[in-house]
Amino acid sequence: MAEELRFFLRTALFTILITTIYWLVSYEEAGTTLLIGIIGSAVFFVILIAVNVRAARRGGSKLNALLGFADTGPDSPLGLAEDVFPAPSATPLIASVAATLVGAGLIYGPWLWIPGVALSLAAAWSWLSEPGDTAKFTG
Amino acid sequence: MATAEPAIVAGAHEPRGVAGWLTTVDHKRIGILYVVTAVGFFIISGLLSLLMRAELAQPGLQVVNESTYNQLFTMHGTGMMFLFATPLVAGLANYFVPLHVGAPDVAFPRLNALTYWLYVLGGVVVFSGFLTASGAAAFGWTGYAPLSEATYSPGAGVDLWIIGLILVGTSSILGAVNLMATIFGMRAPGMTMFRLPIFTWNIIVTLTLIMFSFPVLTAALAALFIDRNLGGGFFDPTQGGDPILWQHLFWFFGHPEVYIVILPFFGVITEIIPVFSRKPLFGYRGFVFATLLIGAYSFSVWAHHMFTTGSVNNPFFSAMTMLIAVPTGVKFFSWIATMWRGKLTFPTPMLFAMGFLFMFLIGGITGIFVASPPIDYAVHDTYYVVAHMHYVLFGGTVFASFAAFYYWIPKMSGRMMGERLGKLHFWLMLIGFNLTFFPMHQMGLNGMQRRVADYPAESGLEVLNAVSTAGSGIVALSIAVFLFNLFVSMKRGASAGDDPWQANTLEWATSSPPPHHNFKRLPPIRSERPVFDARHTGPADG
Amino acid sequence: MVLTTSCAPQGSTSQGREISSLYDIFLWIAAGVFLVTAGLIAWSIIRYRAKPGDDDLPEQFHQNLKLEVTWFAIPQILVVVLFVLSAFALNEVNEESPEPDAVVDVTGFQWGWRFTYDGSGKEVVGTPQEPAKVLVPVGNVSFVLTSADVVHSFYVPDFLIKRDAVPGRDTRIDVNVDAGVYDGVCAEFCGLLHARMPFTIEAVSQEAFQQWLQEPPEGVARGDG
Repeated sequence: MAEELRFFLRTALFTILITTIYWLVSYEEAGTTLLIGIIGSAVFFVILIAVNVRAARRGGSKLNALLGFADTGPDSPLGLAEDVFPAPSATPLIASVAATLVGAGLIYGPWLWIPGVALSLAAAWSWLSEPGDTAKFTG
Repeated sequence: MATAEPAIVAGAHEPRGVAGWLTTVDHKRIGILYVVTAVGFFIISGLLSLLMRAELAQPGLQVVNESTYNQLFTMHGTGMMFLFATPLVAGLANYFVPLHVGAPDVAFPRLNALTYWLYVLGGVVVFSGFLTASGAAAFGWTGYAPLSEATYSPGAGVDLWIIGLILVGTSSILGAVNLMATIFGMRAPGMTMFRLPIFTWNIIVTLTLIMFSFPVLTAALAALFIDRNLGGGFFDPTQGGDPILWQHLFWFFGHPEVYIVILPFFGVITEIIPVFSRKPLFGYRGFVFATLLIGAYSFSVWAHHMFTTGSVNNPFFSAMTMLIAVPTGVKFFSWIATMWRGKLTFPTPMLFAMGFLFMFLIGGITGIFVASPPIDYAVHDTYYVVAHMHYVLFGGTVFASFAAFYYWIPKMSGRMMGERLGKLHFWLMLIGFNLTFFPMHQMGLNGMQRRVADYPAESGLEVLNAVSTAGSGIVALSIAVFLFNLFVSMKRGASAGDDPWQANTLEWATSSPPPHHNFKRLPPIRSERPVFDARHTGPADG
Repeated sequence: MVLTTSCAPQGSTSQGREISSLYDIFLWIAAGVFLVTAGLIAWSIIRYRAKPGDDDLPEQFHQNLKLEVTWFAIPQILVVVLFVLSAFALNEVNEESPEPDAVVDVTGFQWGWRFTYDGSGKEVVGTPQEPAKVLVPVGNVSFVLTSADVVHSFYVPDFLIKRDAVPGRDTRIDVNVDAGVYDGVCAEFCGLLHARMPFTIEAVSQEAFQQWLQEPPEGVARGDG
């Protein structure tokens, strides 16, 4: 079993224990709900990693192929050992300006959403279409 | 698989100058941007605290009025926690995690750039509150409802605070996912989880805390925004809401946040002590276990901030909080055993690490005091708590930050920092810090409450406050020495070479600064000290 | 009133003295832990400093399971002891007196306190300009706290106890007060004039207290809560 998987599995089990104790001593709803959220998050990661580890053992993951990730090496269950790296790009800066404009629009009025949404669309388009830059480990 | 040869298939052509920094997706340049911006917010937030100390130097209002004072401590806390400490973690992790795992970059470099720009713009939005007619947010960095509701805190400054923090929080979550994918998916051949540097192990736990806790903050902020602007009533008791719910949500995020800004610095100290003791870390697995335990406990201690509300289970949170001291103690003993029978040298990074050990020890011990509900009844919301948290966050996080700067700036810049000025910086900061914050313990015990612009004359608090203000001036001076040292060293500092400290981890196996995509070749990785192994077993066999 | 500058204030309530003696126990144990740990660090720094020109590697030892279990176990035992001590004290401090000598309803507002006394119609309202001055009898007094607007915190430093005043809820502290005059403040940040919410509580004999309750109100400045 991958160490990464064990990490989240232990987190989930420990939080289940704590949540049970907390509920039994306090019957307090807000905190218990939040703790259950932690359990859910940890279980999500357990499943995500388990699916990848299983797929790797069977020689390839459809999910990875779909997302464009390379497949798993022995030490890396998420399978990113080889990857294509993007070239320098102004897109992230534009996207963050877009997000800020949308946020500011919540305060100063929806007219700010017009440039905000326009920049978001432009950023999304260039994000998906920009060329990559490859670094690859061999050996 | 003893060695690995990365073959750079296509080199990146970064634009020169400012355009290069604006468009970079290189984790090292983004790391530097993060660190420089975080230090900028540290200086701004620090200046705010100097104004506060100036106001408190004597009873009465001399420097600022109450309205301004309330904005000062709110933005000081917000700036230090969200715009300095957390992003500094992101910066150091950005630069060093890919190097530590032997990867050419992070998993998602453009996402990485996005997280940086979201953080910068979010920070600007938070601070732009000062420019609005009603001023910046003025309810403390904890934003307790219903004080933070529109009825009691009208004005755009508060909404800017909320939106800005949502942007910064989103940035933290995305950054955490990115780095987690890097550590889990891009480790070099031979770099198993139990050969990762302790810094990177601590970052794993930190990232998990960020991924699990920041969404809670974002949700709470969104709910507050809805309350303020869209007629919601989540935290408004007159509409059936619950002010205590805000405290649950805030601290469910807020206490893990404290570990988010200290665990990576435990990691920094754990990198530095073995190098300058010329020994391996004592009890690597025990240390990892302690880190995991701190991370796991950190989600079940949040309501120790709420002992005096009368609506939480005090014994449960007291027990969990005290338990968290145990793995922290384990770390201390690991550090001591690492130094034991070593051959210690004390250049500036090691000096700051030693300062960290003593100062964090004091902060940790007073942490046990406030974990006891009866004692907390007495000292909660007094300067005792201010003293405690500054021993943890300044004595801990800030001292370790400077240890990290002196240790890693040679790698990031290729130039050594000046040792004489570094030592002057250390001693000034140690003296100034203790003068500023040690008297606060007594102020708190004497009954001086937090977040007040004024205190009564003839209350026995004047001398303590005067000493504290004098100390804050010395801290400011020490920071000036650091900036001067940085300026001079970047211009004229000695060349660092690949491995100036005879260190252990992979970042020292490449040039300073490392080339694009980091490594021309990697040494074989057979332990948690690959560079040490390569130095002491002759050239690599690959 | 001049506050003492002793390390741990003594407290003017039996609950306060309980907390104070707990604080002293913690302080002794903490001093021990600090001296041992800081001593070990200082010893390492002084004793194991590298000698100039000595380039040999020191012995490279990695771990020692027995030692690690020991230094996990000792703090674990220590915190269990501290927790138990503090839990006992917490029970004492939180105990509600079944028949208090007086019940005072306290409402915090921006920025002052309103004190009302059950069954007597007595009401005292403090403002930043004219802080409230109220009497309580020596002995068991219950303060029932709430807030008219934001969260405040009722804090009398000499009692060594504070409790939040939360809108929409009642919280309560029960103290056994000695005779004396005690200043209080708001401890939870509550807006602009948070620092200007002082009040004074004077603990007097039951007779003097009853007499005061009967007195007609003397042109008290009204807060508008």
